[in-house]
Amino acid sequence: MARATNIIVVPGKRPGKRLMRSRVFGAGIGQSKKETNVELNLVSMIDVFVLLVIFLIQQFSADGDLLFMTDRIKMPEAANYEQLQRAPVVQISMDDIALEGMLVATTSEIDAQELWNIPKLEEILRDQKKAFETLNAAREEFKGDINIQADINVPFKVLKKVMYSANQAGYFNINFAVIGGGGGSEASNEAEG
Amino acid sequence: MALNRGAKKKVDVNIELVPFIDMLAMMITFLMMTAVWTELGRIQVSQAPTGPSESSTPPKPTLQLNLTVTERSYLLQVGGEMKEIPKAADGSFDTAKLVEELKAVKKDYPDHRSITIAAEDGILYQHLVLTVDKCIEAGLPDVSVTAALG
Repeated sequence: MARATNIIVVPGKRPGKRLMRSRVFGAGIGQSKKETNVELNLVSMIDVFVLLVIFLIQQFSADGDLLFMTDRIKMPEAANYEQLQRAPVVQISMDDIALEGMLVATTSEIDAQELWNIPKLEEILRDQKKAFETLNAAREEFKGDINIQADINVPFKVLKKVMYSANQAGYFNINFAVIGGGGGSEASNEAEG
Repeated sequence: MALNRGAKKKVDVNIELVPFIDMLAMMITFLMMTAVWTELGRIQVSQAPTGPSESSTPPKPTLQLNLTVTERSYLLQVGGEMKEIPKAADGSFDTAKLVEELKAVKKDYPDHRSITIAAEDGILYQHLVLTVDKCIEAGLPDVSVTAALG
């Protein structure tokens, strides 16, 4: 029976039986079968998991949901900023202008036009203001807040038209959405280069 | 059929480790997926209404403090005096000098909090934000951006 178990052998060079029994030459040949199954230390693993969960919960922030993050809009950095609050978001990328994710106009079109306002944007903002005032007439006063999430390379010519339209629609408090942290000087040099 | 009234209940409870580890793993996955690594904020700027509005009239400023961002320099108007802060040698706006000038103004008028910023059409959004950021840093938090220039 013992022979039957040894029918299948691992191919490769192996010394003779006598040499394997030798203390000098057979030291690392016959007895090299290390234990491959390692017992996982559950206590340490659970400790690590719990710490990870606590860290991630601390990092959790709902502010990201207030803006529609997209790779087409690279936001500027600022050091002196306040916490972002819920307000209509106007996104200005190098390609288009959108309000709450809804396309309003193309940036090139707005850049080229002589008019100061963006009629569609103004109209939607007016509707939103009216809806807010109707729904919250007794509870809350309309503050006229609006968030502008623009790409760092958008020219002021486009931005001022968006601001003017917001102004015309009754949104006077304009908030530039920024990424908190640096002073912006590095980003500034990067864009110029 | 003998009633086992005297039997003591076991008070030790074994926590099922496998569901616990599963739950932790799922929580980690969920939190990693929804994690926001960038801190978002806002810089509030006001804009003077261009048309007639129902809102009350803004308070009259004690000092006329205007800053114009042009392609070549900053133009700082303090009352009737105009100062030009040209770009630095590397082509970037000299924000350090701007902050210095604004702090000097703030020293003379400690109660003054407002500044009006105007920019040329070609000025990039990031430069505008940088300028607003520096004005706030210098102690002028009530920043108005006007589109009057250009």
